[in-house]
Amino acid sequence: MTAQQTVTARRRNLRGWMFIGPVVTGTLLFNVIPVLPTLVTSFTDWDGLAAPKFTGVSNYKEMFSGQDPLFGKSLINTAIYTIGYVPVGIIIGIALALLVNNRLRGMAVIRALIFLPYVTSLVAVGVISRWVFSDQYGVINAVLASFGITGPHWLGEPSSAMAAVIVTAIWANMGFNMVIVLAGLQGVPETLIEAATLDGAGRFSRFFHVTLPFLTPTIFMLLILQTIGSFQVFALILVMTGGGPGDGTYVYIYHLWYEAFSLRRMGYASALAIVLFAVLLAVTWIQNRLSKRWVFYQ
Amino acid sequence: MTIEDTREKKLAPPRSPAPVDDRGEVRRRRVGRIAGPTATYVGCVIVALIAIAPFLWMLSSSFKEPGDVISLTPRLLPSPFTFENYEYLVNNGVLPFIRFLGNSAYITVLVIIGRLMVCALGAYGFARLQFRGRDAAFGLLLASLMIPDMLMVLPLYSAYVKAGLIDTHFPLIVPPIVANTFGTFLLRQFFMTIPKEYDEAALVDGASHFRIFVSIILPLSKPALATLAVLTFVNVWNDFFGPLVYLSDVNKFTVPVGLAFFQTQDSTQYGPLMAGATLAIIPTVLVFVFAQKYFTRGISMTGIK
Repeated sequence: MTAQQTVTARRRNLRGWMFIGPVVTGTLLFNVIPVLPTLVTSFTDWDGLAAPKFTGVSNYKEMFSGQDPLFGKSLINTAIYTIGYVPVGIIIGIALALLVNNRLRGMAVIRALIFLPYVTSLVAVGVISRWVFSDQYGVINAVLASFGITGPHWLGEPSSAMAAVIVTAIWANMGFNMVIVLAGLQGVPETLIEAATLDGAGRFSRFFHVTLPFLTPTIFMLLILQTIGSFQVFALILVMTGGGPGDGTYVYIYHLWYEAFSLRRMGYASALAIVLFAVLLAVTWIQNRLSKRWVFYQ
Repeated sequence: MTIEDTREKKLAPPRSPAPVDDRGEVRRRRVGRIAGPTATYVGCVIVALIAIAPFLWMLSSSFKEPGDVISLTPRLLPSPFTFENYEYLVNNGVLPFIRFLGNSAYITVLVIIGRLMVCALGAYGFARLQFRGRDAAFGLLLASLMIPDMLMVLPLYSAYVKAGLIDTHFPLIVPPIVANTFGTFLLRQFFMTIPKEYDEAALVDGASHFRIFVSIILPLSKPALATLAVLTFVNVWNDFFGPLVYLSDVNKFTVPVGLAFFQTQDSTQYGPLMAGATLAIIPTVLVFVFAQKYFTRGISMTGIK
């Protein structure tokens, strides 16, 4: 490499870092460095107050040897929630964005209304969802009853409670997904859609062959973010079911929170966090690898 | 048709102009011009009703007398109708709600401005520049998303105590600006859909990358920037956990944490709570309505395409 090339490469690297420097420094400073001690804490019996004592891998042993049945249970519940919520949530987001992506009169109001659940405070979401899914007074069972079906005690049975939580999550976040997909739709060149129309492509053909390829970066981003977010679901569960009935909606972060702040087992909670991080890293890595097959960048 | 076919089509020469109606839209060929909008409207109304139900309940509850808010047989319309909850909200002598609104407003505005700048700069670097360490840095940002928030609170709290930043707005303003991975990711994905030919043409003309960023990429990215602005508004405006942990002086409270005090102070006061939640939602809706014209404006991708 000549001296000239070295200088050019150095300048190029410097320029790149001038652009990404602020966000990388900020993330390191506020999100990464503060949690590094967790790695150490996870090998101790720290209670958050007294000096921690080193206990080797005993926290990890407790998880994987079945001494803590709630670890496996909460991980499975979290996976069920993620699989139930993420794909349906994204598909509904795309459907809504397509529905409102036009210049018909009144569309501005419709878009704002669909966005409302996302901005409603979680306290209100919790109260309303408990009312909607109530077995005797709930809207859903009232509708079922009008068809002669006796609805279940939604929040009283573990499996139906999880279903109710997933439906509420889809409902509460549909405005978010819609807005993200709407922004993505604006990147689809209109000329291309016009050309496809002239070639006689129908609505579905236009969507699947023109619009969808341009949306794949957006869908990929939603998939990654929503999966990561779903594995960390907590507040919605807290206001809706409190993890119950039984351990039916007891999710991973709920377990972490319980161990950390109710039992004051910070060491064990740190180990739980490390394992979650590893799981998410693996899931994201797989999604990223698979993305090369279906995500289309210009 | 595969992606390759799409690419070919993109490069195909323009055909005769499509029939365009007075709004500049291409006329739909197969679907009737009346059936289309009607079906759209029916779908929209159904979805909107599902979406709006809890908000109606919240609004209605805010005008109900305290005893009527939580009942097993909820009535949609308040009777008797009262402004009591709103009056209580504004003059209760303990929790200065107007002050909460002011605190929330200034924090939110600062974070939006700062975050758009930091995220857009970073997103341009990740989407458009080649340099050493780029992919590793992006991996670091993605990885930071996977750290449970719950885990960051304890170490950050003790760090802020040491730095004397507890009970200031610093933890609510600076980290959300400089450490926002989501916004960077969102903008990067959008920047990547903008044709590279634009940059290349500008580079040939001797423009610097900063110039391309400011004069080409940013103007073309209004939908994504507006989206990030709205979502940031929602997140910061509704953030409950941060202010709860980092603030203790009532005069520094933001709206959500102030509202929560109606829940804990003397049992739950659902009336004022719902009145406050209703007031708190108004700015968000206004911001959304104002910003959404950018979501649907569409980028005029003329020139190369």
